Amino acid sequence: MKDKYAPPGVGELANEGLGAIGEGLRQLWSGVENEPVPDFFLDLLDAIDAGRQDLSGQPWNDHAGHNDCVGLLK
Amino acid sequence: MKAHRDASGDAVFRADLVAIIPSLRAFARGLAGNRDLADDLAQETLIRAWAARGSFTAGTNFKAWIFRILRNHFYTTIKVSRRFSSLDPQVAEQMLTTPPNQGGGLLMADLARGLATLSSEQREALLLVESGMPWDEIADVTGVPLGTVKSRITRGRTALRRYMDGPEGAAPAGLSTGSVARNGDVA
Repeated sequence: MKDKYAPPGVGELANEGLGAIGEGLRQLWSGVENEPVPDFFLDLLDAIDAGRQDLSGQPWNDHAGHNDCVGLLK
Repeated sequence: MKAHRDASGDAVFRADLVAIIPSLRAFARGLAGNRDLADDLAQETLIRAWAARGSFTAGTNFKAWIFRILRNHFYTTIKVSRRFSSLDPQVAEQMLTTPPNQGGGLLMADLARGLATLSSEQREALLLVESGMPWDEIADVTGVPLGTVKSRITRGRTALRRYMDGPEGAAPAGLSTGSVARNGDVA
């Protein structure tokens, strides 16, 4: 519904209302999503997958999947 | 249902992790506001998700599951440490990928700053709903009833609109709130 009480010069987003705000938020979100993923994320997954990090306090003995999923990172 | 415990399961799980990284970064950026800290948060989430992969049931909502891990880590560790108990509006523009040197950029910068003025609970609810996540999944991620999710979204939208209106252009509160409430009731 048009905001008939909105005074002039309140700014584009205010004039366009909540739809524009929602669109702006979606742009903020997608802007980050569309950034290239930094290499260190994939390096981390490499390290995890290779079992070099044991953050649960228990050894991860199954490394068999490592070679199978290296290609996923390329 | 069998969880991700064997080699092939781990490969599937790893593929799921790789695929979710962009969304994970977006959610972390929205919560933390700072690019570097958000990426730290996202990386820690990957580690925790991997460690807990046995508890994930294949075929269920992976995105909601890992978002919940990220959120819980943010609130239990990072926020408690008060490294960023509230998002700093001055760094909120780091959420932007486009420098605010154009008209649209300025509006987006305003929006990012306005987002930073919201409570983290309102901010996360708004971001999640605008990312396309259904209301019930947001309730699942945030661990609150559906009504609370709707309330946070409604109040967050109202506050954000008031911020965008500015002190001179603020619409009457009743009108603005009513408009938002109708919007918020539409799932």
